[in-house]
Amino acid sequence: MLNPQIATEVIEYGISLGADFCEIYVEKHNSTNISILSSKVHEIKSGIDFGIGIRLIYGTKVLYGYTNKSDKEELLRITRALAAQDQRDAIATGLALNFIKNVDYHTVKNGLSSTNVNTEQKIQYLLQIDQAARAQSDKISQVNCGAFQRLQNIEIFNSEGLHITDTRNYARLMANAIASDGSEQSTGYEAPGALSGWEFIENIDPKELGTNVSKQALIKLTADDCPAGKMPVVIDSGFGGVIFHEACGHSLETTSVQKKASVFWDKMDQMIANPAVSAVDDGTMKNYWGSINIDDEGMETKKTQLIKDGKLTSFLVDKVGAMKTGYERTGSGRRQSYKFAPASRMRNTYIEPGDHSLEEIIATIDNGIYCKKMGGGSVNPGTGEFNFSAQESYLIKNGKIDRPLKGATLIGSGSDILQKISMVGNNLELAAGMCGSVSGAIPTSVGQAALKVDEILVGGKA
Amino acid sequence: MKMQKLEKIIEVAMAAGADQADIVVDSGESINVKVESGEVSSYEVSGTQVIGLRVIKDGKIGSSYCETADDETIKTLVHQALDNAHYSKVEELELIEVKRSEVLDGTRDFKYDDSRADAKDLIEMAIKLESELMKKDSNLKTPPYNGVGEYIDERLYLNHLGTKCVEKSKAYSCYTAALLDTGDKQSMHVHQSLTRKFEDLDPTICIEQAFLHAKGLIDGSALKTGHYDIVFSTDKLAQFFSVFSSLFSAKAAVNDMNPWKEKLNEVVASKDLKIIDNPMLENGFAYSLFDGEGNLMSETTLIENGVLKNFYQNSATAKKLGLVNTFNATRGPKSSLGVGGTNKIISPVAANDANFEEGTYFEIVSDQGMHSGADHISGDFSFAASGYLVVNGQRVQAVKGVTVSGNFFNALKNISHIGHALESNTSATFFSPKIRFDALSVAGE
Repeated sequence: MLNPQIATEVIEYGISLGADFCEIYVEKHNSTNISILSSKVHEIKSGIDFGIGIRLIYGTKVLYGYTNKSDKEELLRITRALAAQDQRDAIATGLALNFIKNVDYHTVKNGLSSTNVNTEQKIQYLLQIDQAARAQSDKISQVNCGAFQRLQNIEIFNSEGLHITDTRNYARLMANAIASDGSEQSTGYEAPGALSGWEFIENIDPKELGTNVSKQALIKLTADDCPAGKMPVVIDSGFGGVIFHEACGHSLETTSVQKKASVFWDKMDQMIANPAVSAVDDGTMKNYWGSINIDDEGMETKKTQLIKDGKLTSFLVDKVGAMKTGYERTGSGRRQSYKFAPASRMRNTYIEPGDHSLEEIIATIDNGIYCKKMGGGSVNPGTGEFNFSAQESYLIKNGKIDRPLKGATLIGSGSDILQKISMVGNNLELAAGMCGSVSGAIPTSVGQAALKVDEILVGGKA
Repeated sequence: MKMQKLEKIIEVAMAAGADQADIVVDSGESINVKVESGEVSSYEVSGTQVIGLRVIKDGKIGSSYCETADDETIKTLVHQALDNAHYSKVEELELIEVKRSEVLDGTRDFKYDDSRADAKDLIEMAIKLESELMKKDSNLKTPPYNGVGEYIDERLYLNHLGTKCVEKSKAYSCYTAALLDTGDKQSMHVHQSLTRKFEDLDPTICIEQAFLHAKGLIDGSALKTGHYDIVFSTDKLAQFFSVFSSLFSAKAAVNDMNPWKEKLNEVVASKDLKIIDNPMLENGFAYSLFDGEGNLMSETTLIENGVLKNFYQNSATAKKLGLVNTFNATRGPKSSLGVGGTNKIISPVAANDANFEEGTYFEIVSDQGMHSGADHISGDFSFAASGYLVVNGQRVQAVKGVTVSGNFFNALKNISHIGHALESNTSATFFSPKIRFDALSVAGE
């Protein structure tokens, strides 16, 4: 995408201004989004993003700039503006670029550029979701669904001689149903995604997806208010992993560790969780939503064991994180686009499965909550305190699921909850999500098997 | 970006078969400095633009965007927009019909000038922010967020009828996070200052407010589970209303996704509540002269005497609902025609309410999960909150580790007191007196 000669000249210029390291990140991505609302095509949007990011590192200081233009003069101008405050005699030497052809571990059949599936076929697929959702009940008052595809091409050059390219195809479905009964309204939602082409979407039964979101909405329509207070909670597999992701995973990124803003920054090789807990962040899982061939610093990605039997075994480390903490890079340097400098970020993060069935776990609780599907939430990165809503939850009474609840919210802190996970199930599942942080919103998977937290504060109706 | 280049894109679209076409362009430049442990940890400069094209062909809408304006990309832009229109349904009511001969220029002296801050001054302020904050307490850790930024934005709109609109704005921000760690307890609070001029930035208030709440809340404890009156800080009140902003959306009503669709001219809130939207408010950061269809914007009353008076409308939603256009069309280069607000103002009551501070309420200054824990269809919400228990106007206990839950529709009807002094949120887009909500559910101990 960028002429290597121009890249070489810009890198040499950055190094001549005294930078220790100079990197150019070129990105072009095409995307298309088709959405259905009220059983009709609502809108079809497409676009092309293109830009170039330049990163200079002086010591551990990061200078970053970006532009939509790719001519040499503009790139030199950005480089000059970045170095204006730090310019010094050259102390590093830029190595000659050496193009590396990376291996594509996530081959796709029908990516966005493929002509095998046309827009009309995609629309017809989505309309099946709509019809299946509405067929569940006349209380389903609205359905919207959509399909998103993206083709991202990146090219990275740096002063260490790296020149590498990668292509990433993403596909994601979204289905949302609203149920209404008098003044009561509720919603159901699913959004599976993969590092794949249209074939990922095609392999999902549209009728089953439509039925599922309607059932979620209908169950909530009749749900009771959630009780409030401290109680044991079972968080089921898949998107339940969002709590570990938000409350613990972000604290294991060197982005926060290097600032000592993480409660785990000095806990390497120490027990930070109940021995029942082992956790992994894996960028190599074939065609998973959070997978990558190389990270956005050009390093081949890896599988990283974060916690083993309760003991902290690794952080997620990018280039700057490695410089500041001394830990080895883990192929975790990621960014939303050319508009962001890379930072250490998660990929597919999950708690490894244990031995218990979901029924066994629920049977241990006399009075608590079963969160079948978690919704969104947030975490204070400085303290690890989190708050998550349950999208679908049930009361547990005497070891059995009793009745559906609405308005359940879980509140706690990451370091505390890790100690209170006493049972981990055997039903590992991952779910797709978008993770927002310092280097923008990136595709990540969250996951776990069902697990029991002995005590957590549940926000509901007092 | 040059107007002539954009006019050329419209010409290409019309020549390729579009019946109507318009373009929105957002462009900007920014500098962001972050400081950590007395040194610049991050320094960012940027210059970007996004061009969004909308075409109408045979009554069908198609849109597409790009970030570069070379001939090949423009050709693809136009092709994609027309191709997307081909597969879309007929939208008889969405038309590009604003025709104006003179250029509408919303650039004003109070929001834009050509001066730029010196990068050295930005760096110096960011370093001072951190160092002054760290002097406050030996238990303070390096602030995880500490920086200063300059932002220049330009918005352009033009259509096939010759309508042209332009608006430039400039903003500066500085922010810091006080992170207190006493070994067994942590507490963090972030505060930001946002201004139109660099010299108006107030790093002192960032330091004072960030430290005040981090220190104030570190020894916080949970309240006993029960019902408490709630008073939000202005930032949190703005956030509370923004979570449920789709209630004012005519587009959500048209799409059957607005629970207030049938509530126009009905009582939806306390009789004392009046909310207006004013795009021309000079000290409001959402100041805007024209909407996403190129119309001149104007003030809109949303709620008056507790009665829902208007939704935010664009030309298409107004026709569909048989109501007047409030000229609140929104459209970004990457988004389709929608509706949205600008500066929201809740009217204060005329006289001081002596009973406002009487009794006990929970003052919320920090939250987690207010957006994610809300269902804007049912109105139910639940979020974690920190703040202070206030008794007869005095903060008597720092509070954390609780969740607040309720229903937004009920909360609006159960407002017991509205203050008389107007305050602004940090981003100067929401102006409101203090509001006391009756007896919301708080889960704690």
